[in-house]
Amino acid sequence: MSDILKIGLKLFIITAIAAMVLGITNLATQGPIEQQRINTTNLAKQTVLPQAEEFSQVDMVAESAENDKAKIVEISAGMKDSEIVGYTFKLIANGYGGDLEVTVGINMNNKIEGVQIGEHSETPGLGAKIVEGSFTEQFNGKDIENPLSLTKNTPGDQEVQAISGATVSSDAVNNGVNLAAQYYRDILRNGGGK
Amino acid sequence: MKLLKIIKNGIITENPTFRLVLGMCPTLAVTTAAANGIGMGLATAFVLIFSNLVVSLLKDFIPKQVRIPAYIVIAATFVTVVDMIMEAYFPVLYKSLGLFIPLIVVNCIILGRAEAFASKNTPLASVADGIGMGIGFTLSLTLLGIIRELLGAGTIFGVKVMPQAFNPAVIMILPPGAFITLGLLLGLLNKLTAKTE
Repeated sequence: MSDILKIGLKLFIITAIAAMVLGITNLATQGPIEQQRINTTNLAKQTVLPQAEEFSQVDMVAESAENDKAKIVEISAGMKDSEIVGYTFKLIANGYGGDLEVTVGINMNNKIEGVQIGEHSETPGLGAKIVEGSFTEQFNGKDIENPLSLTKNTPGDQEVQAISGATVSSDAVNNGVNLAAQYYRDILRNGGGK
Repeated sequence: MKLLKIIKNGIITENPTFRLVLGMCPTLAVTTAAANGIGMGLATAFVLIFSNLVVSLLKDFIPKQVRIPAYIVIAATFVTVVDMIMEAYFPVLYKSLGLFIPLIVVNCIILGRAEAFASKNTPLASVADGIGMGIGFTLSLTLLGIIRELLGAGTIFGVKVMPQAFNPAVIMILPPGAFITLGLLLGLLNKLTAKTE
């Protein structure tokens, strides 16, 4: 009996020390981690809408911000000299490996300014190629009046070439971009953002 | 001299991937590209060295009956600490390795070396074992990554090396490619060593 107590106590000491070490590390890294996440979000906005100097969050119309393939989680208006130069949309789309974070920038000329992929769990070497410029830059300058579609061949005007072997991942990004474009067309463009 | 022998043992004689066949889950999962192999290998090596050290220091304190839970707690603590510090202070590194870090907890190399080596040897020798096994694991994963990336994407470390006409065999970077490559490499190495022995 006393053996069991002794063993249990020793194991308890080990786990207690481990918990303490983790607690201290968490305390020390909490702030910087939070800051890193904010930096990442800001950096993504800046990348997809480079001409904006500051961003202010916009209230969303909930029923238009979601369809069965993607969901808008945050919209910001990009400002320069206190004028709106465009909007950034942070979306979650359904990728092959689960949630996929897409940031889309749309400027006031009704064109897509940039697309960036944030956190994702796509297959390395295949779906994960969506983060590469050769894929995301295809969206730049596309008109938002009509939905974009994917193709496996040379892309046309309103088309984007899918990554071969990764149609689901490519499609997820495209769905996100289309939802952002639709929201912009239906709501923001008519002054519904404020 | 003895320490060097322990290191060499981990790299060649008892290579964790090709001789001990330990840690197969991360090996098969992350070797889709050479860079992933190196990343996973180095992160594992880091945790392995420190968990070996702590297990060896505590070998007289940890009761035999509960050694496995104790080892797991030690390894998991190190992994979590590494994970948090990396995310807080090395965001670039974390972005490319972040996915692999939690996988290290379930890597049986950590548990295997704690049980087979660190719990029976001095702290210094255990660190040497961690270094050797870590290097051995890193080299094996990189080799697998290079072969799969070359055949599956036509690149090595992201640099295109195959001629334009080469049509990549996508299966090589999918799960079946991992089994095919590992199986053939294991067979080849067994044949080579069988001759020399």
